Amino acid sequence: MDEGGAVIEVRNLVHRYPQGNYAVRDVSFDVGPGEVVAIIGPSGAGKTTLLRCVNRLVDPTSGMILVSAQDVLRASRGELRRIRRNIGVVFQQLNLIQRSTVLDNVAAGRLGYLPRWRSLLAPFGWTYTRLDQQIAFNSLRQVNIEEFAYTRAGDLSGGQQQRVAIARVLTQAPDVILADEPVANLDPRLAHEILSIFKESSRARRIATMMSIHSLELARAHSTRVIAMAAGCIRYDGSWERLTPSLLAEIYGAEVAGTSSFSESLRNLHGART
Amino acid sequence: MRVPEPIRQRPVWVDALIALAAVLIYGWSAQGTGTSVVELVRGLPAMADLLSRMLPPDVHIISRLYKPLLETIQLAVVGTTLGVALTLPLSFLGARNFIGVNLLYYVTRSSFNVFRGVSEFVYALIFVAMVGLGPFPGVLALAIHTAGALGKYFSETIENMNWQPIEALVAVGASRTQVVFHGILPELMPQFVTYIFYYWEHNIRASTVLGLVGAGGLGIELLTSVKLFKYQEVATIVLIMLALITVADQISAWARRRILVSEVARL
Repeated sequence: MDEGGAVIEVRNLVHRYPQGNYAVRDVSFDVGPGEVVAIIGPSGAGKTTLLRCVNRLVDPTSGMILVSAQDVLRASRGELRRIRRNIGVVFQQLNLIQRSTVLDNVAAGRLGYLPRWRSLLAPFGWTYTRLDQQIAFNSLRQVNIEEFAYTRAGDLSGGQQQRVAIARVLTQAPDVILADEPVANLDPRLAHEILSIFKESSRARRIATMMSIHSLELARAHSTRVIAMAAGCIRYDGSWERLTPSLLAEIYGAEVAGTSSFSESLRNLHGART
Repeated sequence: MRVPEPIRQRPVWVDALIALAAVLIYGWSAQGTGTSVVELVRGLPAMADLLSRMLPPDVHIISRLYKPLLETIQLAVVGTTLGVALTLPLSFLGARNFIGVNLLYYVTRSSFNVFRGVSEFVYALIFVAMVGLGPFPGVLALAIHTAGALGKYFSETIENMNWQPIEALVAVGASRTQVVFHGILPELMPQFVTYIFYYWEHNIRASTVLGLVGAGGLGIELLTSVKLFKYQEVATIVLIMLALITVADQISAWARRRILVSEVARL
């Protein structure tokens, strides 16, 4: 844990579907500034729901969430808006307004800071101040995509779109980044590139980052800590070094752990450790 | 052992009953509407007579039709625009994913059904009684009907759109208004504009005959000429209506094609 206390504090978080089954059951953890936490676990373990609870895109059943010491679950509409602008989110895909330009999509990261009435000027392109546009442009530069500033987002490739999504997050100047499978649709080289941007910006800007990720190698290479989930519970929370193959096998289930691709990724994990 | 049942054939008597019912319904409807081949044949000479009295069309009245023709176009333009202006804000309240399923949603959706459930001619009749003869009641009638039809379509389009990009905006702390102006409208504009053109064309067709109930446009001229038995004038007016509708149809089709092509090329 870094000095200065946790940015994200989650206590006894429970999310239960109306039908009665649990997506997340009694989960507690802290994330400090500059930490990059990889959330791993089999599909259906509750990774996505957990991430979506943190900025209340999903309302949890019970528990407590503090982001930068603000109570997320008790926040009023206006307070929630202010909390959310402080939390950048990258989704698996289709994050962008396809028909808007890249610059417009990135500048949208400023919306949480702008008075509502300004969006009435959107048809004239006057929503954003010169400063907002400057910030947006700087973010574009950071992910090396400024040449596409005036291209429609829908015309970009998947990897380029994901960069734009990250640029939007950087434009928010957030204390927290939540990423749900941010590289699931990208080739390995692009995946490494994108995750490096996450790691670098978290370190440089002291951002607390949580990302769910399927590939164990990618997760290992680009995070400072790992939370392993299964059936809605946290089964492991700590350094990669102490995450044993037997625990991993237990988390992913014996059948899966028996497959050759899984044991291969475990071997790679060991390789990455040395 | 259980033998699977054969696919059940409908008994013949059921088919016979359905056929009988169909014949009865047709007979009843034809009788009620006075439809008969005999009448049609008996009326043929009268029709031929009328057609001959329509020819040649009286082109001298074209100078007189100039103003009503423009009025017909203006009726459709103003009626459509007013309808869109009325319904565009409402259509967000009628979209479940935007507003949630609540009283506001149901009230909005039912009002759309009321607006579009009644023919624009019925509205025109009512508005003529309220504000008097002329194009203005026609504008109101078209606006209301357009608002209902487009409102339903806009709401359903919003409900069917891909919500992931919108959720991403919510996640940066965008308010509802900001989501509308920076997410929903930019994404759906081509579809909205396409449908507005389609409805403008529909309104041109409607406004050619709105005059029959005294609500402006070419219809008034038509009514006058028919009542005065000036069938050569009637022919000219009908031909002009046909030309107008054809042109409007072409313009609307061209515009919609342009928008669609420019969007498809971007995919």
